[in-house]
Amino acid sequence: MIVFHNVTYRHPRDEVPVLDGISVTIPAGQWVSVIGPNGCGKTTFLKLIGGLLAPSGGNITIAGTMLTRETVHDLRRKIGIVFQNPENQFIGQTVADDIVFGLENRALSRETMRARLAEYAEKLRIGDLLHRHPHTLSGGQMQRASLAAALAMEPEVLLLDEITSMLDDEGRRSILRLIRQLKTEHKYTIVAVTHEVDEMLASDRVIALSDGCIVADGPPKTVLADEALCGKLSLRLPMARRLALALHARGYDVEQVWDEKELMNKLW
Amino acid sequence: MRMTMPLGRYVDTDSPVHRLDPRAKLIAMLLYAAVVLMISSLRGLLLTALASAAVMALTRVPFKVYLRSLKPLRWLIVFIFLFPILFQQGWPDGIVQGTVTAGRMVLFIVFTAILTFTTRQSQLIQALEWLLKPFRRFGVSPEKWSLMMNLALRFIPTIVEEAKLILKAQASRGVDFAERSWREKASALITLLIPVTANTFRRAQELTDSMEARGFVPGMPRTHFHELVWNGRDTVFLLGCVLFMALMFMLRFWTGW
Amino acid sequence: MVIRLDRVTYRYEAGRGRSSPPVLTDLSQTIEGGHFVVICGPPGSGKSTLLQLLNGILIPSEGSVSVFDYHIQAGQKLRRPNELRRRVGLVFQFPERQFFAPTVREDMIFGPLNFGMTREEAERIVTDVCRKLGIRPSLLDVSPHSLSGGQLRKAAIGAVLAARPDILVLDEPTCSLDSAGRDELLQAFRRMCDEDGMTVILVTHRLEEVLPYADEYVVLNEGKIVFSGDAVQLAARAEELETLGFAVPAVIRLLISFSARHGADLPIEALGRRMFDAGVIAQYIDDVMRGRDRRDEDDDAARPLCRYGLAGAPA
Repeated sequence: MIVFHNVTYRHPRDEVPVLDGISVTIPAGQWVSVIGPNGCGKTTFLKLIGGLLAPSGGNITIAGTMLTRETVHDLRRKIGIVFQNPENQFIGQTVADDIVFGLENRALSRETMRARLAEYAEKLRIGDLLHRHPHTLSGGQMQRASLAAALAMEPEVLLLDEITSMLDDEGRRSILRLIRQLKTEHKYTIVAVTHEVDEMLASDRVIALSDGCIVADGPPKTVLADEALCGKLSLRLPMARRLALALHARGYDVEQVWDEKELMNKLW
Repeated sequence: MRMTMPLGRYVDTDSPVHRLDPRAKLIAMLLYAAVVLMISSLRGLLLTALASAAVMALTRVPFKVYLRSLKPLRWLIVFIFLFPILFQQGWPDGIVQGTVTAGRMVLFIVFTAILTFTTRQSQLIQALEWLLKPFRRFGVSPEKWSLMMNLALRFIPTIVEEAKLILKAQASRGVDFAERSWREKASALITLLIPVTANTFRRAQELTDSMEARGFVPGMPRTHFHELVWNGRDTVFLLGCVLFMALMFMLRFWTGW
Repeated sequence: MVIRLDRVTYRYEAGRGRSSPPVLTDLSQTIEGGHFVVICGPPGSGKSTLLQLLNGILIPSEGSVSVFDYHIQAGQKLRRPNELRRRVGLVFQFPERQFFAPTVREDMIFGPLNFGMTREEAERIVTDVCRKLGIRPSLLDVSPHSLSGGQLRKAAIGAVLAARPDILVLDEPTCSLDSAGRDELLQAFRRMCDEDGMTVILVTHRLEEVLPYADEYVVLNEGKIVFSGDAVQLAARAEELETLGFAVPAVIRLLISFSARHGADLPIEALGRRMFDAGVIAQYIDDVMRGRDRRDEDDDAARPLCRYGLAGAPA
């Protein structure tokens, strides 16, 4: 679905590249978490896929078509992006206006817009928020609205840039539940930049970036089992996992356990 | 929890006036302004006031809400009333003049309130965009103007909120915004203006990314979710306004009222 | 006791003689000096309002707030607010958004200068603050805009610390930072408590990350304090707080679940703050599973302390 061929990106006046010779293939339907310290190029990686930035070297292919200035407008139809700051991506004066903004840009008919608005408002459970001004919404509500806006355009790829980092715990959990649910209902390809270990564990694959290069790439449990990497990125494993590892060191047969309930059952 | 001035706020009472096309209301506003400017007698004032009261009643917005819209300017209105009495014709001839001039101001404010109470801001902007269309030949882009106005209305509350927060933050760091000297006041203001401006630019950058990501290309044709539908009742309303205007015109210039 | 809230109620002025519902209702709380206090609660529970009452940005509608010997009474105007604000440093959420000076250094000395310090003093303190927070000195003379997210956050917090407050109050200081950044900051705050006797009060949503550092927890809900105490007491009332929408930390869930199934006592009292260390919990579980818990009954007093790494003995 998404292929990076030796992609390099540097800021116009910088010598040091933000991304250096990245090659990676993301198949359709995969949920990828992109992790790494701030400044390692995660957001740049995402923006390159979305065509908001152009690579300094190498090229990017989406669904078989190479991403160029000519093809970007059409390829954008396949991609929905939700950014980190709930406030600054919200364009409409009401939630409904914001959701239809993208649909208006695609010159869809009013009937189609109305249908999509109803469908995705229902899916993301924001039906009662449709006429609210964003100023009256919480961060979590705004992010759900922005997700609805991205999904209403019926993309194949979802790019999520730390969408929960500015939210409180409850907001974060509800968004994660939502994405899990959406993933089971529809085969979106998801590329999500995140710091949260529980989001990583919910995804199919974790790619770790550091200083512009890929330093780890694999299933979440494999990547997170790398202690050196976790130390370098200051990733703290969930308590259940840390406890399982500590108990395993004391001779208990819980090496493969990550889940709280499973751990308790094994100790019973 | 922010409080806007009553003048700018939409009041949802679902009246016949609410259901009028915003373009009709906007044009009516312009005609009304012309009428108000023409008033020069108590009789003219009374007639216009009666017509306005009729429209106000139709809006189903409580009378005291309209009164509240006058509140911020109440002293100005009092001053305008007193001005002819004190400085022009004196007492008691000045009373008529004062009443008429102050009355005109009150009517104008009240009609603006009728417009803003019964029309959603986005509808008003759509109406304005439509009205600007004939000016395209002069290089005006109605779409750009309406986009700008919509974004302004979207972000003004947010930016105001942020400014309040920054004020508090700087006060917490010892900035006294009630400084007496002008120089200190100016430097205190800088600690507010620079961050708000810088943050606004950053917002604009993120906003642009979001718009681009959602397929916005300036100049490319796009559809509109909200449509303005002109009905028979809009034509009737507008005709009524035109007739009223013609009536006032006649009264003013032919009978000297 | 450095802060005392006495029956504080706060409501926004609605004007026109109407009163809006109170944001905080009849709050009473004392905070001891040198403690690391965490304030948490669902959105809209009044946490940010509470913080702003501590340095006089907001004045209570009823009741009073006392900070050291400075007294704020409802309905009274604040006298010499800077006296209070020098001693209570308040850091708002996303503090980096307040930067206005051309260099980081200029912004950091701004506060101290306002509070009457000389430039030399201010610069000296700024150097010290940078060391405490782990800000590279070379970053002081660049524009704030060229700093990375984590460094920027530290610099903004440093700007408030530069005024040498006795109490540091922060609204979600770790919000949107990466894991490394969050850890660094919390550790720095803990060090300031331990080494400099600073009182740290912070609002957070992420309870898990502050568990190893905080001394005391205050839980707000709908403008009222529903819990106030240390981690041990928090763990004891965890289930009750859960019904209020409070997220019980995983470790407490695990301990409660395990202890219930195995009929062992909750070791919370014995473990104290060490209970958030996976190794310590594993040791406890191991002990219970192997029945060691029941065997050494005569060794009651010494056992919990040595075994779980307290009182100087290694874990």
